[in-house]
Amino acid sequence: MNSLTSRQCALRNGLVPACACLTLIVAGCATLKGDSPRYASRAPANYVSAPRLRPTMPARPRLVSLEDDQANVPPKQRIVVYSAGYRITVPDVEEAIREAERIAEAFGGYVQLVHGNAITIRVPAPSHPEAVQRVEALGNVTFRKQEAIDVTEQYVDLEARLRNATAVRKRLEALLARAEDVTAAIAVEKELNRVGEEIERLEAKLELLKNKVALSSITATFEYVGRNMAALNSATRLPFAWLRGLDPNRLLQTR
Amino acid sequence: MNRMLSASFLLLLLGSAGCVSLETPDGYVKLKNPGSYDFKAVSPRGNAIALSSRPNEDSSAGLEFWSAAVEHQKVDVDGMKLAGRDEINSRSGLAGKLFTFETGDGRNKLAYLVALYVKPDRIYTIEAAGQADAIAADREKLRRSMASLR
Repeated sequence: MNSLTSRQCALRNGLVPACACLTLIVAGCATLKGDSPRYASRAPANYVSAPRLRPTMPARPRLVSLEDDQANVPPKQRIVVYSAGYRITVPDVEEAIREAERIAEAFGGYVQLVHGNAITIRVPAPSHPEAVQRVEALGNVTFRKQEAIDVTEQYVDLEARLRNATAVRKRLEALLARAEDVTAAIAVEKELNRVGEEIERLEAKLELLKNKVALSSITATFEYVGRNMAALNSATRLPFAWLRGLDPNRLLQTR
Repeated sequence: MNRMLSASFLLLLLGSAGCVSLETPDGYVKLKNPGSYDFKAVSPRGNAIALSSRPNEDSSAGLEFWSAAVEHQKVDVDGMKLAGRDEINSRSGLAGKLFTFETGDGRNKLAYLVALYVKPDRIYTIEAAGQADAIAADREKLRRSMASLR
């Protein structure tokens, strides 16, 4: 009764590796510690953007865990940091900054900096195209810069150096355990400290890079629309001088 | 005879200029020299309210036309933010519009109220401006003054 037919065996043999692969993929999606509490609670795992590089609006980046072994990542897949910068004229600067804050929050991101009339928000990379559209809709865009920086080489290099340093540390620890005299032990410990510091430095760099990849950056500098009056189409002005005389500045003049 | 003629002429002139009056808001001081305005008063916090009038371009151009024109001028051309558009009625029975505009950069926000009344032969505007918080504090008394037109 318990004997399996050849077809059942084949099915079972096929299912076991498939399940193992699925488990590995799920386990590989570790969360990334962000530099903001808001991000830490909401941000998804590390992201690698879509393989195609576009200098303008990026496509929705494809999610791949950076924890995966680099050998498993297809060579054509690129790791990209997206950023965008805008100068936008708006009728109400304060309200525009508040709205930009709301956009960051809506996408599970956070406000990195508010400085005068400028704000920098960070949003998860997959939401970058949508967030950029929302920011552009805040007013009249007078300057636009969108950037996609390929950091694949930098990332692979950092990972390789980190792997090597970790391997060296393991070998040094083994050497330390076998050290026969104090002089040798001190020499090995000194080298262990140096390698330990190197590992910490590389880990910090890698973490920073992961954060840059996982969260795109959008900076908007808002300008009060009245400053760009000259740019407005004069054809829309009505031929009634008194309408132009309706002016709070004229009213508030003391003379 | 000459005196009578002069007085008649003066009355005619005043009539054609659309002589109207406005109550000074409580706590405001009416200026003796209102400059290019028909009436102007200021508050100790620097708010100003002023009345001006001009002939109507076309007797068929009513409140609807001039409301849209004022809004277009202030929002589309001058880039101000329209924060409110309310009905207002003058003491003399004219129906009007009261616009609230906002402008300014960052925390230096300015509020600008414009009450508009239209007669077939004349258009009246009563403007008030000042720092947004100062105007907000005086809004009711400014509105009462704007509605006191007759």
